[in-house]
Amino acid sequence: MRRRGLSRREFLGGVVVLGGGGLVLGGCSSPVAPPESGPGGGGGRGGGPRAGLPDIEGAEVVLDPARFPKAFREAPELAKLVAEGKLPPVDQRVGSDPLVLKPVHGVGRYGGQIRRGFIGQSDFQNAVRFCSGPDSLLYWDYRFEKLVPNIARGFELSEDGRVLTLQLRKGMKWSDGQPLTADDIVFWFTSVASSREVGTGSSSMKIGGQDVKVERVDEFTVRYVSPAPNPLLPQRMAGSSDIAGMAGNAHLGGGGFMPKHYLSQFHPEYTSMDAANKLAADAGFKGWAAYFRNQASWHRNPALPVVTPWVLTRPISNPPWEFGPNPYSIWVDHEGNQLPYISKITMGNIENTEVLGLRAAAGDYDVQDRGLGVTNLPVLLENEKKSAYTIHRAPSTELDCGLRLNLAYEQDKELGELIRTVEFRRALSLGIDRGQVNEAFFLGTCTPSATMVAEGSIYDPGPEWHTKWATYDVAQANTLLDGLGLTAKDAEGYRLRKDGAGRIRLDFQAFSNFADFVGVGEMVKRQWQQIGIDLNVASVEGSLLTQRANSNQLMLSCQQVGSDDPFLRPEAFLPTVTTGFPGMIGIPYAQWFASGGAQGKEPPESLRLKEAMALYDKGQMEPDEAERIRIGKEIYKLHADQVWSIGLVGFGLSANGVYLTSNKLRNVPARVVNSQTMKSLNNTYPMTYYYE
Amino acid sequence: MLNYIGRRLALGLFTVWAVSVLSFLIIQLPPGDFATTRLAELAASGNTSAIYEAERLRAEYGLDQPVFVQYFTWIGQVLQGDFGMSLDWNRPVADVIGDRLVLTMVVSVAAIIFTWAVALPIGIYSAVRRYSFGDYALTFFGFLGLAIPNFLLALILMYFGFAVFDANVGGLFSAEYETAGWSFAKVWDLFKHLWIPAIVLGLAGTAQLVRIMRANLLDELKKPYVITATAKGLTERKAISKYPVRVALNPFASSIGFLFPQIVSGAIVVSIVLSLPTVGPLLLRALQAQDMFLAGAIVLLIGVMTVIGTLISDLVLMWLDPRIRHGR
Repeated sequence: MRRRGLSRREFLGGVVVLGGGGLVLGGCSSPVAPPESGPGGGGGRGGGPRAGLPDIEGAEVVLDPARFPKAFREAPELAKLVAEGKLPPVDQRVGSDPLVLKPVHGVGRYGGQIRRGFIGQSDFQNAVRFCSGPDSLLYWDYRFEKLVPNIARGFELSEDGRVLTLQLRKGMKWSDGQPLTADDIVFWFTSVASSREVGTGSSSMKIGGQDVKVERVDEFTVRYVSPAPNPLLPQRMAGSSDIAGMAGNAHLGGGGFMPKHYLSQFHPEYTSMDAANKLAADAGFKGWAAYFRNQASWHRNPALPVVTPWVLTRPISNPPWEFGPNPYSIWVDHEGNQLPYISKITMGNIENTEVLGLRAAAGDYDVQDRGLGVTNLPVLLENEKKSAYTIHRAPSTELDCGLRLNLAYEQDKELGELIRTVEFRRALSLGIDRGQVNEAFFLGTCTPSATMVAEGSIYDPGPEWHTKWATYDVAQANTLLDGLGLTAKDAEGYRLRKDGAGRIRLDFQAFSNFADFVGVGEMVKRQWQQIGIDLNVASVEGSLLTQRANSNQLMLSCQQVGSDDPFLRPEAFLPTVTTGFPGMIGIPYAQWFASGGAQGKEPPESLRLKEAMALYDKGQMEPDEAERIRIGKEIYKLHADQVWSIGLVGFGLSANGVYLTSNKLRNVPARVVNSQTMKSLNNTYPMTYYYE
Repeated sequence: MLNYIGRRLALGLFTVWAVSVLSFLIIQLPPGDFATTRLAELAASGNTSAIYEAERLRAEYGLDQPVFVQYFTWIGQVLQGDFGMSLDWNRPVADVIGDRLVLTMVVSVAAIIFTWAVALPIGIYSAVRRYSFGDYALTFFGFLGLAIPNFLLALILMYFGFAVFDANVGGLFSAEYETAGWSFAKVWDLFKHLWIPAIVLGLAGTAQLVRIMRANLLDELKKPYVITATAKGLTERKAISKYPVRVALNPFASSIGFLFPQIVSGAIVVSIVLSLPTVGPLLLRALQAQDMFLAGAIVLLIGVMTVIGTLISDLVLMWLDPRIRHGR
């Protein structure tokens, strides 16, 4: 049904014609374009030019006070409330330090609504990634090169990287009109972040195993004092960590700040245990903590004071999920118009992605990214003119698909030892035809690669490392395996185990979400026939996968791999995550590192993980950026050489890389960086969208 | 008579209790619990930092206690009229189901009306005009409805709605009416969306009812009382509709029992394919997420409806057919 009247060849042609060019579509063809050294000087993070796609663009955060607007204007519906005396005037609401944006194409006009779809209760990231601002204290510029102020007005990091001073915006208000001050950050840190009942328990506010301290300097200044150099703390605040904004994290206890004046009424430290529990029981919740986390949920509680450009007007749990403009939004355009221009966002609940794709193709959505993927492209392109929308393609800065290995696998002793043998892992990697995977599952939109950053990233160790042990070389793979003494084969050509228990059969368990990862497993199984390795492929539900990862039962799996930053998102490279599927590179090892050797299992020297972890620890505490980048490159090189995970294809469209916008919308960037760290599509600056 | 109803009621209560135990046990059977589902979903959206989330969810909702303890806690609340909080939705279970119950009933009733409106006349026609061209043609269409999987029919109709009629596909309302209060325009919008699920769900049951009606009527038509009625000069229409059709209606009455649970659950697969805001998709999602408070409540509701439905169909049969009445 999806491909009616459009063969694959035509579609691939269509990409070129309709997009005014195309992605590099060939399988193993040579990579793309010369790496860009951005104007920021620091170099890109994977947002460089791509052949056939428009350049990255976006709204600019105006930092020069001389260019700040002097007078402010607001949406007509807010002006009406001001006239009625229900709201203070706009210049009081935006405060004396508004966040000034120069929209990508021009100043807009107020009004209109954006229609979107979301896919059930677990899709709360939908709005977080579209209309939350984002509400992190700091953020990246649209080129993904340097940090810019966001909710905080500015920051200063001491030379040794131990003291971070954050300045807040004077006169800034929560969406209920109460001032946002240093107390809101201190409240979050002392009463929420460190609590087992309402905090996340993450290591974002730790360095070298010790806590970062948060101090209130004055009403609008906060100081973060780290026991060791902690130069990446600002990047954590700006990215996708649990301290990067309330919208996506507060319901889990993260965020970095919280409205003390509102949330303290639910917290026993500020009332009493009895009072807090009674409030919770009256609302039907089991205990104050569950209620507190519900009341702190951006997507569930319309009464929660927030700082996002839009505020919740109808919760996700009572669809349609809706947002209206925040009258106290600090975002203004360079002429002083308070943002957002669009006054309403309404999102319908869709039970399955087929209907979502069809509705998108019918033009029922004004902006849609969630639930659309590479497989939707044909039908979306076919209806682009008729339904008057534009398809955008935003290649990701990470791997779309990679095989993950559990280096700490113990269930089967012999197979576990093989997985811990570097020659074996290299042979597995060389035995995969990545071009075929790319063509079959990603319509050729990805680039074959080892587990690696995108070309042109500051951490890029050089082109030779992208294909290190990641070419298709069956002969070399067989030589490596023969060299391990695995020469005996059965009648079908599979190599036999040394303990006589039949052929070498690895175990692969995955579940398909962004792409058909189970299908990739089936393809790898056929390809590994040529190197005499058998594979058992199973489709396993996500929750079960989590449980098996926790009990160390997983051996091989396949997923998207966050591979664009070795320090901020290390879980794919190094054993840093101690629970769940993301930690599957070796949970016992991660526990060993996290506990300083007290728990878990020590990784053997031959695995060289300790070297990499030492580099990781050193890099995290390295105040000198050039040196940190050098260490980052070392980690990538070591990983590519040791093949701790088998990267397959990447830098494609499968993860949030395909989205559509109505042709009536203005200020939509031609292309943006697609990165988890940027929380794309927030970096298209939807608060500057408007209707002609 | 009262004795009979009383006995049925007691049996019904026992059945509901058994359903509640079984459903709660079955929901807990798959490995993992709601906490692992939550972790898996967070991981899928790139969040690896919620370390405490699983352990505190288990503590707060007693997920780490033995199943029977969890069952008694839950059923104790249910008996007091409190279905608890849905883990997945963070809203009271009663509200979550309540939102969808009315629409589910609308869809199911529309489908049932469609089935009966189509199946009854066809059944009568094909019995009276047996082996005629019309009999074959109509029966063929009935069987098509039975043979085509529901979800496929739903997809096809949806695609035609999209490609030919430019209709708003899936769901029960257009976006602009979803939150609007009830008005004539909203009902009309609902009507425009309702025909696809009504046809898809209705067609499946049509063939079965056509065949039952046809077979029963054929049995009756041969009986002497029909010949007598015709011989006495009644028109064919009157002779058939007044006597044999009434007798042949019995199977419709006994199927009411099965319709009742369907009315509240809706057809799950079709509802998911068509993205209908009904109870069916809610149940599936609750089972996937191991939200046993929500899933348990829905299964319990379906169980209660089955029991009530069976009771009602017994009573209707007694009223409709003197033979059953006197047999007791």
